[in-house]
Amino acid sequence: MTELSGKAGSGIAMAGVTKQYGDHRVLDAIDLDVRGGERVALIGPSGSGKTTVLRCIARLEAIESGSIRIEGHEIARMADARSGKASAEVAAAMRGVGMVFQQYNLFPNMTVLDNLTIAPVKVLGVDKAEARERAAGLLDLVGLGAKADAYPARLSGGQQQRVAIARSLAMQPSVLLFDEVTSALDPELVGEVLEVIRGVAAQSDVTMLIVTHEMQFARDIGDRVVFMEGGSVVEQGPPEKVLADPENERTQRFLRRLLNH
Amino acid sequence: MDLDYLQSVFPELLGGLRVTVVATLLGAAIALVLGLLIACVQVFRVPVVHQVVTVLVLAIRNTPLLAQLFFMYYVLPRYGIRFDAFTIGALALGLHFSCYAAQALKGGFLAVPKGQWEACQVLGLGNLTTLRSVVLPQALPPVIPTLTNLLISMFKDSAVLYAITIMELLGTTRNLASTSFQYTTLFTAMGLMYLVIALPASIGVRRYERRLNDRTVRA
Repeated sequence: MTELSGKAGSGIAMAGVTKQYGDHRVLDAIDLDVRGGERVALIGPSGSGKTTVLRCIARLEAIESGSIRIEGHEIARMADARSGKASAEVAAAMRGVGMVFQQYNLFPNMTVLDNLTIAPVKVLGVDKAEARERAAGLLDLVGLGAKADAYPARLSGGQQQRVAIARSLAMQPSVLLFDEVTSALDPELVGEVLEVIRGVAAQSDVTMLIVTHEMQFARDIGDRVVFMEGGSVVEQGPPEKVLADPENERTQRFLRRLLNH
Repeated sequence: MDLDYLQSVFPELLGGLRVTVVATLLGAAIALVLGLLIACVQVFRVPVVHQVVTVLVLAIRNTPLLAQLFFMYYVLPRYGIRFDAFTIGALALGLHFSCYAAQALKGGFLAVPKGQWEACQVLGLGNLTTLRSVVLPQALPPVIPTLTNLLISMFKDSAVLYAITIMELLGTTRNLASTSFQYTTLFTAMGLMYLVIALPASIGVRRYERRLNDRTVRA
C-alpha cells in the first residue's frame, strides 16, 4: 500500500475570517481550527457558510479580513487575494490541500486514469509511468480499478465521486476538504462514497474537514463536530455530545428539524 | 457560355482562385490566433488590456471590412508601417474575423462549467495547463461550426482584396472581362469556382453539427 497522504502537519487554523458578498456577510469573523490528522464534520443549515469555509481554505474565494493558515503557512494574505496570484510559498502550501466537490468536477475530456495523473505529472513533475501506477493503485482503493480507461460520462454519480476522491488523493494531500460530496447523489449511491471516505480515513492520517448533511456519517467519522449558523461557529465538541446532547439552543433547533424531516 | 474561351483563360482563373484560397488560409490562421488571444484577455479580464481590446473589437465589428482594408492600405504607410498589398490583405481579413472568432471562442470558454476551472485550481494546474488540457478541449468542439462558418464568410469576403490591387479570383475575372467582354462565361465560371470550395465546407459543418448534437444527447 502506497502512502495515501502527505505528512500530517499542524492542520488548518482560521482566525477572524470574514467573507462578504455585497451586503451579505457569509462568514462573520469565524475562528476554526482543525488539528493535523483530525477529522472534523462541519454541519449546519443551508446558508450558514459551511461551504464558504471550505472554499476560502481552498482559495476559491478571497476573504475580506482574517487569517487562514495551512500547516503553518498563511494562505489568505490580502495582497495575494487581490492580485489573484499566489506567491511561491502559498502555491507550495496549497499543493497539500485537496478538495472533493459536490458535483465531482471530473474532466469529461479525459479518461479516469488521465484525470488522476494530470496533476501529479504537470504540477509535481512525477514521472508518467509512476503516476499511472500510483493512479491504478488509488483506483483499486476506491473499487474502480476496472474503470481506468472509461470516460467519466460512462460512470454513475457514485463512481464519479469515488474517482474524484482518488484524484484528490493522487496529489498526496495533507488536508482534504469534502464539500457535501453526497448531496448530488441518488440515495442508493450515497453509501459507497461514504464507505470510500471511511476507508481513506482509516488508512491515512490526512486532515479532513467534511461538510455534510449525513448526521450518522458525521458521528462515525468525526473526531469533532462543528455546528455553524449565520457565518460563525455556534457549538463544537465530540460527535456524541454535539449531536445527541447539544447545549446551544440553535443546535438543538437544527437537529430537531432534521429529525422531524 | 463560350467553352473554348473558358478553356483558354482557365489557368488564369485557377491562379486567381489560388490567391483567394491562400489569402483566406493566412487570414484564418491570423484570426484564430488573435481570436484566441482576445477571448483569453476578455475571459480572464486582464486589466487595461481588456478595456483596450474591447474598444478595438467594437470598432472593427462596427465598420465595413472594405473600409478597414483601405485604412490599412493607405493610412498605415504614412506612419511608416509598410507591407505589400497581399500581406495587408491577409492581415485585414485576419483582424476583422478575429473579432468574430473571439466572440465564438469566448462563448465556448464560458460554457465550460465553473467547477472545471475550480477543480483545476484546487489541483494546482497552472493557467496554461488549465486552458490547454481542460478548457480548450471542452470549449472548442461546440464552436467549430461557428468557426467554420466564419471561415466560409472570410473565403467569400476575400473578394474585397480586389480593391487594393490583389488579383484574387474576382479581380482576375474582372480583368479578363474588361478585355474580352465575355461576361456571362467569366462570371458564371467564377461563381462556380467559389461554390466548389464553399459548398462542401457548408455541408461538412451541417454534418458535424448533427453528430455533435447526437453525442451530447447520448452523454
